[in-house]
Order: sequence, then C-alpha cells, then structure tokens
Amino acid sequence: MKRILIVDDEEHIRMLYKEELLEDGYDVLTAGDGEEALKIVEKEDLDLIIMDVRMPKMGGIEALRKVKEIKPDLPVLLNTAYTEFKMDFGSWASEEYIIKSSNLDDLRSAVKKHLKA
Amino acid sequence: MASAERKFRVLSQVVGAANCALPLQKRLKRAVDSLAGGLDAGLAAVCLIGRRQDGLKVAAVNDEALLRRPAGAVPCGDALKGVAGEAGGPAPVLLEALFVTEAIGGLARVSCWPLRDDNFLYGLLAVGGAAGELPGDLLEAAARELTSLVRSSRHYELAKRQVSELNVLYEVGRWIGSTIELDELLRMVVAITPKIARARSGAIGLVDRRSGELRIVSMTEGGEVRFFRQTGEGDWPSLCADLSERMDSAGPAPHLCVPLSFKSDITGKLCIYGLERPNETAGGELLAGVAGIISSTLENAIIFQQVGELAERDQRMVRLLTTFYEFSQAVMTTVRFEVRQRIILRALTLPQGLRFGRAMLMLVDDEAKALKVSGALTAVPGAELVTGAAGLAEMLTCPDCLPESELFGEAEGLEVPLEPGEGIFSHTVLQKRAFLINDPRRDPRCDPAFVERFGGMPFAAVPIKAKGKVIGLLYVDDAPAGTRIEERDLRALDMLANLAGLAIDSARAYEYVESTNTELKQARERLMETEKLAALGELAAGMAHEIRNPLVSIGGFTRRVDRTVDDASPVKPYLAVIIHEVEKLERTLNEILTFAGEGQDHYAENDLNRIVEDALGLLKREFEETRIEIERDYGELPPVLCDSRQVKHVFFNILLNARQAMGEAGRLAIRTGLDAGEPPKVWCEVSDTGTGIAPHLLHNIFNPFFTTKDTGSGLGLSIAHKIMTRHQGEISVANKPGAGAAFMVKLPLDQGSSDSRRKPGEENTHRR
Repeated sequence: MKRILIVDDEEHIRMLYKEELLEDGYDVLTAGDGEEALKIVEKEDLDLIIMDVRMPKMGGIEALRKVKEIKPDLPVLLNTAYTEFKMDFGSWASEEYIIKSSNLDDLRSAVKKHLKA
Repeated sequence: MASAERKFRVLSQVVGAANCALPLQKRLKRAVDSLAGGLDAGLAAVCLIGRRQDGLKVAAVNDEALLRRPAGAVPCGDALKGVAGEAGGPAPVLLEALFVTEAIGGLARVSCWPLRDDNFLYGLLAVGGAAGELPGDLLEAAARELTSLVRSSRHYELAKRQVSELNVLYEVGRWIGSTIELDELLRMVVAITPKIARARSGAIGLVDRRSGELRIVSMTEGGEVRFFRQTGEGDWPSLCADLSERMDSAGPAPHLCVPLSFKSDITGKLCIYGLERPNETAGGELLAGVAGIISSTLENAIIFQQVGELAERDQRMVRLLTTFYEFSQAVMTTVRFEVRQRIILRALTLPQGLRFGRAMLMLVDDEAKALKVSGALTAVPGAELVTGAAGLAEMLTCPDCLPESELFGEAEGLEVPLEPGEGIFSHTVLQKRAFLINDPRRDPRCDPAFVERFGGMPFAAVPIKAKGKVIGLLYVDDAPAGTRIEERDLRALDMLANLAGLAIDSARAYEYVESTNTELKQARERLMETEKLAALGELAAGMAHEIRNPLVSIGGFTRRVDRTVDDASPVKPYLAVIIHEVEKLERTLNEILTFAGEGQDHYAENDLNRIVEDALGLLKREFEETRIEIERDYGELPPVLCDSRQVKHVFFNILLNARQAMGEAGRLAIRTGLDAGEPPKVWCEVSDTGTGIAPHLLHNIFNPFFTTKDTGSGLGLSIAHKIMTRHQGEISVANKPGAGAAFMVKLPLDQGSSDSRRKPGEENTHRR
C-alpha cells in the first residue's frame, strides 16, 4: 500500500484529502506545517507528499527544498490556493504545481501519475 | 491816231466783254481781241501773277501764235517792279520770255499797263505791234476795267471755295457728331474724307498709348495700306507735323497725310490716297480742317470707349471681389476639410461663382510623391434656378440645397507621380505655375492619354500654395462661354487658388490638432482604465485567496456527501446546486487571479497562427453545433515572444464572444498578418456577422464585470485587455452595428527588455 503525506495548515482540507485518498486505497499521514512534515519525512517511509505552500512556521517551498535534500526521489506535489508561487524558483523542484479545487480530479490523476508502480 | 469815236467804240467793247456772263478766261479773251482789232495792234494780251506771287502767266492773248512755247509761268520777281512802278513802261525781260516779239516788230513797240488797285498788283496788259501811236488814255481805262474784272472774279472764286469748304466742314461735323461709337466714327471718317478731298481711298491710324506705335484702325475698302505704312513709319511723326508735305506723284500714289492732334499731342494720322488733283494745295488745308474737327470728336469717342471698358472691367472686378469675399465668408463657417473642399469646388462651378463646367482639386501626397484627386465637381445644371435669390456664401455652405455631385468619371482615382515629364499636372506643381491651355489636342504639353481622359476641352491648372509650398492644384475646364479660357480667368483662378490654399492648410492643421487631441484623450482614458483595473485586480486577488480554501472545503465535502446520498434522495438536487455553484465561484476566482496578474507568465517564442488555431480548437464543439462558417486567412508570421496560454485565453474569449453574438448562423473571419511598422507587429483580426456592439457600450467593453450576456462573469474581455497590456500589445474592437464586430489584436515583435515579462529560465517553469 502506498503512503502519502498530506501537509496543510487548514484542518478541513487535511480531513477532506485524507478521507478521499483513504477511499482511493492509500495509506495517509498528515502534517499541519513544514516542520511537522519534515519530522515525518525523516521517520517514515513515504511514496508521495501533497504540500500546501503558505503555512505557518515553515512554508511549503522551504519544506520542499529540505525534503528534496533528504529524499531527492520522493515526489512532492505543490497544492495551493495561490498561483503566484509558480514563478518562485523554489517551486520548480516540485513534480507538479496544482491549484486547489473542490474537484479533486486533477489532484487524483497527479497522484496516480507520480506514484511509482 | 485813233479818232475819239473809235476809242469810245473800243473801250465800250472792252467794258462789254468785261461785264458779260462768260467765264473769266473768255471775257479776257474777248477784251484783248477787241483791243487788238480796235487799235489794229499785232499783240494784245493780259498776263496775271499767280496767287502765290510766284510768276507771271499769260491769261489771254489775241493771237496764240505770239506765245512763246512752251507756255508757262515766268518767274517775275524784280522785273515786276518795272510794271508796278511806271505805268506803260516796258518790262523787257518778262515780255521777251512770254511773247514772240520778233513777229510784231520787236520789243520796242510793246507797251504795258499794270492791272492794279490800291492793294494788289494782279498782272499787266501788254499791247504792241500797232501801226500808229497807241492811245494811252484808252489803254489806261481798259487796264482799270480789266483790273476790276480780275479782282471781282478772284473774290468770287475765293468766296465760292470758302463756302464749299464750310459746307464740307459742316457736313463732316454733322456726320461725326451723329455717333459716339468709335468704330463707326472711324469708318465714317475714312469713307467721307476721300470724297471731300477727291481721292480714291483713305485710312486712319491712331497712336497706341501704351506702345507708342501707330496702328491703322480703319480704312476704306481697297485702301492702299502699304502706302500708309510707307508714309507713316519712317518719319513718323515728323511727316505729319509738316502739313505741306506732299509726296511726288511718281511715288506710291499721290496722297496727303495730316496729323490728328489733341491738346498738342499727336494722336494719329489721317491719310488719303490717289488724289485727283495732286497739285491742288487747298486739299491739304481742307484735310487739316477736317482733321481738326474729327480729332477732338475722336478723342471723345476714345475716352468714351475707354470709360466703357474701364466700367466693364470694374464691374468684373467687383463681381470677382464679391465672389472672393463670399468665398472667404463661406470658408470661415467651417474648419472641416471636406466641407471647405466642397466650398472651393462650388465656388468654381456655381453660376454666381467662376462658372466653370467642371472643377477638380488635387492634393500632393508627400509620402507617395504623387498628386491625388481629393475632390471633383460637375456644375449642377440649372443651379441658377435652385438658387433663387440666395447669395453665393449661402449657396457655398448649405449642405443640401444642391444635389451632391460626385467625382466626375475622368477624375476617378487619378494619381500622377510628381516627376518631371509626367504631364501637365506634375508640371503645374513642380514649376509652381499656372497653365492655360486652350487647345489641348494640338498642345505639345498635353499627352494624348490626358486629352483622351479629359476630352480635349480648353482647361486651366493652377497651383495651390500654402506657406510658400505647393500643396496641390485646381483644375477647371468647360469654360462659362464654352469656348476659350482667358488670361483674366486665369488671374481669378490664381487668386481663388491662394484663398483655397489658406483654407486647406488651416483645415488640415485643425484636423491634425484635433486628431492629436483625440489620441491624447484616448491614451489618458486607457491609462486611467488600466490603473483602475490594476487596483481592482489587487483587491480581488486578496479576497480570492481568502475565499478559495473555504470553497475547497465546501465543495469537497459536498461531493463526499453527494456520493453517500442515494440518487432518489430529495437532498440530491440541492447538493448538485452547491457543487455547481462552488465550481462556478472557483472559475470566477481563477479568472480574477489571471486578471489581477497573479497568473503564471511564461514567455516563449510562439507562432500566433498556432495560438489562434489552438484557441479555436478549444471551442471546436461550440462551433460544430452551429451553421457558422469559419474563414481562415493566415499570413506568414515570424515567431513572437509571448505567453501562449495567456494569448490563447485572449482569443478564446474573443472567439467565444463572436460565437455568442452570432447565434446559430453566420460567418467568422480570422485573418492574421504582419504590420511592418515601428516596432513591427503581428496582428490577428477576428470579425463576426453577429449583433455587433452598441456604440454606448463600446467604452465599457474592456471593463471588468461588464457584460451584456446573462450568463457571463464579465471578466472575459477585461482579462483579454489586461493580458494584451502585459504584452505591450493592443486589443481593439471596430464596431459595425448590424454588421457585426471586428476585434483586432496586435503583438509587438520587439518587446524590449521588460523585467515583468522576461524572466530567466521561464521555459523550465512548467516541468512535468
């Protein structure tokens, strides 16, 4: 079973994504900010991260960089309400830049695409 | 020695002869015959001195054989003193010259008596060759009698001539007083004068006041003009100053010339030819008299004619000035070039104006280095009737009082390169001078093509100048009289062209200022609009972020609920509404973010044709369902640096608009091309046959949240505008209400180095 880490400061969003992905048959972990996420990354064996960008303590871009330093092959999908970070160099390290939407189809297909078989 | 009775008989015969009713010559003859017979004398003769005291001539002699041949006047001079001084004393030299004295026994036997009264010596009575002594008392009495005969006869002749001359002068005066028309007067003078002076023909010449030349102004039919020249030019005016000048009869023809003078100025010459009696000096005096009478009349007639001409010219000038005045007034009523052009063309063709049949205005196109037709007019037939009492200014300015004439066919599309050798029009401009050509068919300056085009009527072409530069020309033909165009018409045209030059120049200057002003205003409006949009966009973007997360939650969980609810459940439709509305809100958010500049820019070299075609591809289904025809005309375009997604969005919006404006049927035309300006731009025009955009809405069409569609967010075109602004491009709509709308999008090829658009490594932004 593939393990996915959801990082988002919004509790409702974490809840929504977790429930949806659990239904899809994934093992799901969650974190409320970048620092928390890094701790999990260090400890746990993960297949993919869905990362919000704007978060307290440590934002998604910084967390992304650090994740890639530790585990360069771990795919990270940036999932955000903002479009402007797409122009941030830091965001380019991500596998995908997805705008948050109530319709999770885009997110689902990206997850499927980047999870190695 | 004659008896007293015989003496009385002879004397009474002489008295009888002197007083009979015969002409002078015959009376004298009878008298000398009586003397010779009565006194039995071989010679009896009366010799008379010529009127000019220039010689003695035999007037009557008893025997013609006694006359020395050839007979003629003998200069008398001092010899006459003998006759005058001493009664009866011989005047030997004279008598020898006049008579064959040998036949009567020598000079010694001839006695002379003077014919004289208190004032004059008329001649002498010579008697000689008698048998005995001559009776002195008888001959003295006879001499007295003959003296009185000669005197009275001379008086009579003089009186007769003076009466006849007075008659002639009276007649001349009466004739020439009967008219004041110069031509008729001159004709009359040359007809009458030769008759009076008994000559074949006559001619009259007047001095041209400007050139000082003597010109023949009238002559009788078959007049000997060549003699007039000969007798006039060489020694004019000295010839005429000398009244007694007479050409010898061996000359061209016996003729007589007298000067016509007025106030001591010589004004002309009156000549008569073929004199019947060339030696009659009296003719000259008479002619001088006639000349005196006619020259003052002639002067009057000339002045009258000049006054007439001046009056006519004044009238013409006044009319012309009125035209120019009214024209200026009319021109002042407007600053519009088109209206002023119409005024100019009407001034040339109206019956109250210059009355040409056709008029054309050509202007210099500096860029094309060519003359191009700007306007042309054919005179409206019957315009006089339309005008009524209206003034010219009114006629020039009223827009509807005359049917609007179109370019006459010949002028249509006429364009002349401004090069030497390109015909009369380019000459007019290049040489800055007017041309008046009355016979275009034969004039080497007009090529056959030109004549063919304009019909070979007399025409004039006048340059229009403004600020010392030729800016165009006026062409007119079909002159008012239908014949020639005169020099004075050309001057009038020249003046009108000057006024026209001012009018056109100021109208153009005004239009330039106006268009610059409009451009400025538009630029300002656009700037304000852009600022407004930017402020609005930032506000919207801030809000959007706050809204998106809750929307994701609402939408996401609703979907989850939806999946758990049975299809038959009554809440199912409600959930669908929530899902749908959330989706719609999210779409609006996306649009706002793109519009607010928060969207992703990634610039690359793109093919505009490809972008347009991609945008069309997105709407494939929309168009497939309709009967809308799509017409593509793609030009060959160089690659342009732009964000293809954003530009695609622009066309998506435009095409969607067109689709919605046309409904189910119509024609969509897409054209692209390269605009080689500075900087060069690629452009795309999308035109539809839809409803178009009402003019009052045009202003707002690029405003955010403005929409005429019930279902639109109103952001489509404002975002398109925003995108084009970010690309330093343009988007505009040319409105054709009822005929659809045409959107024009332009993207500059060389966009400079704007940091906001060119970012390093942008191509990598979109890794997948």
